[in-house]
Amino acid sequence: MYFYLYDTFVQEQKHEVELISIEHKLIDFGINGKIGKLSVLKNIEQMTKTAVLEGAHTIVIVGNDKTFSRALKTLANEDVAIGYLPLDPKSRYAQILGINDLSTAVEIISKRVIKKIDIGWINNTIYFLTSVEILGNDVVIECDKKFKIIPEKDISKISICNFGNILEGKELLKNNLCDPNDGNLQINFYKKNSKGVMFKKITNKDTALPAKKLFLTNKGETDNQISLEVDGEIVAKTPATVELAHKKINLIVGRERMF
Amino acid sequence: MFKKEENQHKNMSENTGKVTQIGSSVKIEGDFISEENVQIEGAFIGTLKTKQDLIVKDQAVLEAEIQAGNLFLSGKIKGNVTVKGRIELTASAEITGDIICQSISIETGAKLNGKCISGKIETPKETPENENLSKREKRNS
Repeated sequence: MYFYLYDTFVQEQKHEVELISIEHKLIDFGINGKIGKLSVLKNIEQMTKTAVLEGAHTIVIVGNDKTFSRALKTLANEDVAIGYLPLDPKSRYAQILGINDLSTAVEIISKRVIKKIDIGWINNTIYFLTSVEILGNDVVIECDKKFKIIPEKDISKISICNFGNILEGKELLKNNLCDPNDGNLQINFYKKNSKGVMFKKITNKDTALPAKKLFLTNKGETDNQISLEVDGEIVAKTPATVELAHKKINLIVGRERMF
Repeated sequence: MFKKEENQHKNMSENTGKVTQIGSSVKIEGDFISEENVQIEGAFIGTLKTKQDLIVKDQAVLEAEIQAGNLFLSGKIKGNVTVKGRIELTASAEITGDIICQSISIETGAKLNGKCISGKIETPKETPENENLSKREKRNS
């Protein structure tokens, strides 16, 4: 059974025409299924769990990148294929999954090409596909219980990437993406932006190294807990464990996917 | 000066495409084992092993036991170094420790304080006694 999860904003009148055309297409392709609509009383976790219990093998998120990111955090627990119907034409997740527009998205879901990819895990509870971002340099990162990384004062941001921070920047750059199937997370340390020389491209990535399991604690100098962000949302605070989950996630992808 | 940098990058790209980069703004402490090329500009304390190339830039300071495929050194190393292939020391390089490698090139100005053994590195052969020993070790562990 296909289960379509509609975000709250999708139910606004301005998306009505789009939704009707999508639903017709789904019927044409023979992949129509049950529709669940998010509301103040119904959250993603409840709805997806019920859908799986009712026999859903494919869950399709209808919404924008925030909806998809929120859904992934809970859906990674379930043994289902995950699809995406992006209502935002500039959707970054759609780009990396190889979905050009809404009409091709329906075709892609009907073809059901599934790619298994690694997924990150924070404190054994929260899943993430993209990256964990930490602002500042007040953390010490212990990697695979073997070595510690201590950032100096000129580090302004730390990024622990599975796929990379795809929502950052004016456009999605393939060079900034990490391989989500290499069996590792990549830790990137970025320096504060310095004044550049004219015509010279400044890359401020200071350090990039792979690891599987990281333990993040505060530096001795500070008592404040440091925030860990995923897709612009604070999801945890230090001390925290960030690692690759034991399982992989099943994503429905198009031919022009970026991985 | 620029030619040397280019050569170093060529050497790295000949092996595998991936590079672990340790910049000047981080300090690493512990045992670091990598399957990739490693380039260090910052500080490192501990042991470092890579089967690929290790590039130590001139600002880098390492207090470490090192094993690598090849070593291109412009910075400072305090500790013993074992390299399967070749070592290249540039003028700014400084090693305090013993070196074992297949071949070495030292530029004028480089400082080397320690023993240096270069030539074919022989790996210990598996004699029946050694085999029994290693089997016993495995069983015990």
